[in-house]
Amino acid sequence: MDPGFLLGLFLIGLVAGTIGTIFGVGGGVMVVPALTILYSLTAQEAAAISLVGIAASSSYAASYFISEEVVNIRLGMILLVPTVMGSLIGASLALNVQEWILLCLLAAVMTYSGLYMIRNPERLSSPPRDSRVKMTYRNRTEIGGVYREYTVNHPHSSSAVGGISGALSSLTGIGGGSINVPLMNIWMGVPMKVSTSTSSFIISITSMSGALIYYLNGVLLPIVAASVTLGMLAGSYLGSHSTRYINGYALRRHFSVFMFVMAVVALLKAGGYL
Amino acid sequence: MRTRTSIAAQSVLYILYAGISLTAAGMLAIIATGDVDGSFPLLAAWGATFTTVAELGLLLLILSPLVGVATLMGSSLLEKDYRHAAVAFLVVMLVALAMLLGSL
Repeated sequence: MDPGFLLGLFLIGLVAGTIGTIFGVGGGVMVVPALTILYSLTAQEAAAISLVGIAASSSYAASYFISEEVVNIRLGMILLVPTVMGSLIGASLALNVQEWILLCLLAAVMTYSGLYMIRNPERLSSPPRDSRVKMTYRNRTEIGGVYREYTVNHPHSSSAVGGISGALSSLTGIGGGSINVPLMNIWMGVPMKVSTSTSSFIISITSMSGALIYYLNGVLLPIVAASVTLGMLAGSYLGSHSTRYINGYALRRHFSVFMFVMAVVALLKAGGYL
Repeated sequence: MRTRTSIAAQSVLYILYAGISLTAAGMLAIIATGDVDGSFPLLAAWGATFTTVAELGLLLLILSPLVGVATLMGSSLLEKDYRHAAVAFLVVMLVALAMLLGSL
């Protein structure tokens, strides 16, 4: 096998992992279009490869966040139930739908991710309410060196969105962080740091479920997946360390333009123009 | 709970490191020899190739979150506050297992 071919795949994973981590959208949003456009893989094959990379890199991130006690494990377990179900259904659907539908879905998710990167509103968690009120989902987290209490709102109604997030994740090969994080932060009132870390925990399991379905159905290309996954892992490491030196938030608007362009390219490919 | 979460996080990391090592070893061997079906005597005795090694590593990477979540779930069943969520998740994982076995 040509080493240049494998090196190219590794570089795609590396760039996607680094940029995805810096901008907080995950590497999958870049890996899937790159593999379908540059390497002419089918949307299903690209999604399978992307999910393996996401499962590995988010597991690494989640294990760090769990040991740091930032993850709200209870909330994560509640949201895991619908997202894993959604992920399994999504992966099973992806094996049976036509490729142009998956590409259109991918374009929609990329447009949404681009818009999310432009806006990215962070909502601060509401202060604890009257302690006499019964609130089941209350948690404490250390933010800025001090412990802060926060209340998780709407945990059950958010499950439906979690299910959609899981299904989209497996259908398109994106991680789902761009759906989970705003859901937890804006709708559920969970602090941003807890939202992103709990999202990593959820994504690691949903990606694993989707990747396993693809793997067992023989859609996963092992050599391509190995190269891209190693690149994504290295990229996640680089990205997490470079966030100290690069102001990702300042660059997000510029990068979102790239996401819109990629969405158009995915649509053109869906229409058979590429 | 804290000790158990630390154990879960550590076990995930160990599986990840094992997966990364095997995948990287398989890929480097493929790059060095330029042959995806290549092997060396010890591997060949097992009927394995460099691709098998890389694939095994990949499988470990895919399954690494399962180890962590199983540890977390086991410990959550012991905690009163976490029990309902853990039982619900256990049911989903059983459904997932049934779906995976069905897809084989």
